[in-house]
Amino acid sequence: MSAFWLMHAKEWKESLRSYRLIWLPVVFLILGISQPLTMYYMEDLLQAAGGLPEGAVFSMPEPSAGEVIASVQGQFNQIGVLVLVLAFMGQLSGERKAQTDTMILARPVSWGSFAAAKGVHVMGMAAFCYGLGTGAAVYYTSVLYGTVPFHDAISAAGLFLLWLLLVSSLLLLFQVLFASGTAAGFVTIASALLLSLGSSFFAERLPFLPGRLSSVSSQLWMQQPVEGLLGTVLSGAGLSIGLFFCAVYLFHRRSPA
Amino acid sequence: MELLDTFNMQLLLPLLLLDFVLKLSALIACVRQEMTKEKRALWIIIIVFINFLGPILYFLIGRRNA
Repeated sequence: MSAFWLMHAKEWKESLRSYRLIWLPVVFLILGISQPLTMYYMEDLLQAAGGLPEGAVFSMPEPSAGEVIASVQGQFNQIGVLVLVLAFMGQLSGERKAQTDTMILARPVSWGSFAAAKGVHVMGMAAFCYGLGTGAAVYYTSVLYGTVPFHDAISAAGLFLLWLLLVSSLLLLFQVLFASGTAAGFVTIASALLLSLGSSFFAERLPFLPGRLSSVSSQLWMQQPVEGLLGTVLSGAGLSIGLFFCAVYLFHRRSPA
Repeated sequence: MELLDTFNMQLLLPLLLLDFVLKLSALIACVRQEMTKEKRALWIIIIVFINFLGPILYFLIGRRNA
């Protein structure tokens, strides 16, 4: 276990050294701030960008606070997840390329803890970045539009966080399965898309699929009623824990001893 | 700048600051990374002139072989 924490600390150091610890949170913060701002100043921005033709009437319903944060979350789900996966897809293959993995794994470090530390680090970074970005978005929305009930905000954020953990577990598993980091990243994005597509196809019949996590979270932000919440949470948590330990086990099995 | 007057500067300032931090960290990383003169010049142009996406592109692609 102490080897795991050592490896985990090493991952944070590596993220600091490669500037990830600085630029990833900044990207999430910029996404979280700029979305409410552009939505609020949409009319002025359109005017400045050449304006509407003479006589055109521009009217948009004032979005509620929840809708604004849900649209921020849409940004996190697209750009945020993409950037996270692209930033971390080279974790294992990068070590293999620099051959630092042989240097580390020649020591009495369990292969399992080596892989687990990498997975937990991605989850920690995802939680950190998402927390900062959503905090900024909630603050800006509260200034420009209004507030979302605290209880809804916490549960909606928790659901999306679970979705991010699921994507992190997928990334770890595919990093173990594929030698190339690019392939791992691509398959992670593709399978995350498939998961959410599949769950929206079967939304009626199978309302507990884990791919629903991000859309259910948006519904909670908008304070719409959600059915089958418990099943979604349980299947999401189960799947991400299962994938994580599957990845760690598969990597551990490669160890010579 | 008529447009700027319509914005609330107190709201906009953090965004500008974050953008500056992103650009600055990318520039520092780029200057400290070992690469040919031409490549470095190209990346610096990308980082400075492409807002938001430039630094991200550098961090994701430019540091691949670092």
